[in-house]
Amino acid sequence: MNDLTPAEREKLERLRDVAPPAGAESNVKRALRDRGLLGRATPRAGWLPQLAAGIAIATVLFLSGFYAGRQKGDHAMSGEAASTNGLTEYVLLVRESDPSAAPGVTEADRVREYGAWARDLASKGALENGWKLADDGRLIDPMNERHRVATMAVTTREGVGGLFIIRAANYDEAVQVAESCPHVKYGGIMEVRAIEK
Amino acid sequence: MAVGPHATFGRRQDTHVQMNEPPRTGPVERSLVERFLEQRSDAAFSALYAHCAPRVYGLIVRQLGPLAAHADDAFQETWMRVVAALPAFAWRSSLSTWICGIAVNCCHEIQRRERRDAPDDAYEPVTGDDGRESPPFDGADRIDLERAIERLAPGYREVLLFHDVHGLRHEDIAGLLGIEPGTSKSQLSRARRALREALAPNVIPSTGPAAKESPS
Repeated sequence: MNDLTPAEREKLERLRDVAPPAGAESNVKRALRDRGLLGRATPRAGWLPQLAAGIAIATVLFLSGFYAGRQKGDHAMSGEAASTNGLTEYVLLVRESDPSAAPGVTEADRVREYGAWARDLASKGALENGWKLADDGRLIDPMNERHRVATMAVTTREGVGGLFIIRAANYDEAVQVAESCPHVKYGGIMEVRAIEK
Repeated sequence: MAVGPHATFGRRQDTHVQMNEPPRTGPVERSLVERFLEQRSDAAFSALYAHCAPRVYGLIVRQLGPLAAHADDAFQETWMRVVAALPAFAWRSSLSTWICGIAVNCCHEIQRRERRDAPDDAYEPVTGDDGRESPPFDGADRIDLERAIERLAPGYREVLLFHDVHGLRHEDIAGLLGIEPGTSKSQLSRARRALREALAPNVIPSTGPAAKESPS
């Protein structure tokens, strides 16, 4: 082994740090925001049980509202769906909800509000279907040293608690539908993706 | 068997960051990460960035060497992956080492993309050293040293940077590159010798792209 002299070692160690160019931090932040990685707090471990409960409740409420809406608006979602020819199907992925974003709002209030939203969509023939997902899952992550993150629950902002299929004329309209959902008002995230066929 | 110092690609396409070192993370790093994960605010990210960015950028610039024009792309992509994976970071290595591992993968992707015709024989196992001695570069100035490192064959440059510049152990380097620790040691010895030869006055350097090692 060619051991380094103290002078060589010092010279090499001085090469360790290089200041990134001006503007690099801003560019990184912009890219992080574009990917939704900056600007929303990640739940602390100690909050997870509470938040999990809140999210689970919100998802259940949300889906309760959906089913309530579907029952009352079945006419718009079955036979009359043919009138939606030419529309594109989009999936709305229901993500994190912050229960603290709705202080003083009762579960009954939420059920009514979600239900009204779902009935309105259904009456327009825009709501196709919806499902609640199990709270736990597995994330296959090659960047993680174990390659897998156990329990990819809805307690993380990446976790999906449920999904809906809607019909819309274009992406902007689908986004408007998602933005109108009470889930967003209560701190939840809705991801809108077109379904390619 | 010939040592393949000119390529840094080959078997590391499926390399994962897997450190064997015990946790060496100080309270500052933990505090920065916890604050960022809690807030995800600009200010919290800036603090984390300020702590890690010079080291990460330094690693990327020097590892890419002749491809340093792509350093900004690698730097940004490194942060994207770091922030995305940070909630799952298990603190089994220091934060800096973990981030460097991600940066290494980003650099490798660029190197593979930009050098599609590169040989695929980096880090063949070698044993021992041929005993050649070169004078130390005690008197070299910084610019000459930087240029000499940049001209090192990628396989040499990488191990030298990890060990002698960034202070990683051979076990860490082996985990990062998917090689044996003994191979890392041998590569380092040869890298140091190549660097000394490049910086020695009146000696024809053996660090250029055409300077392949002869089979030993």
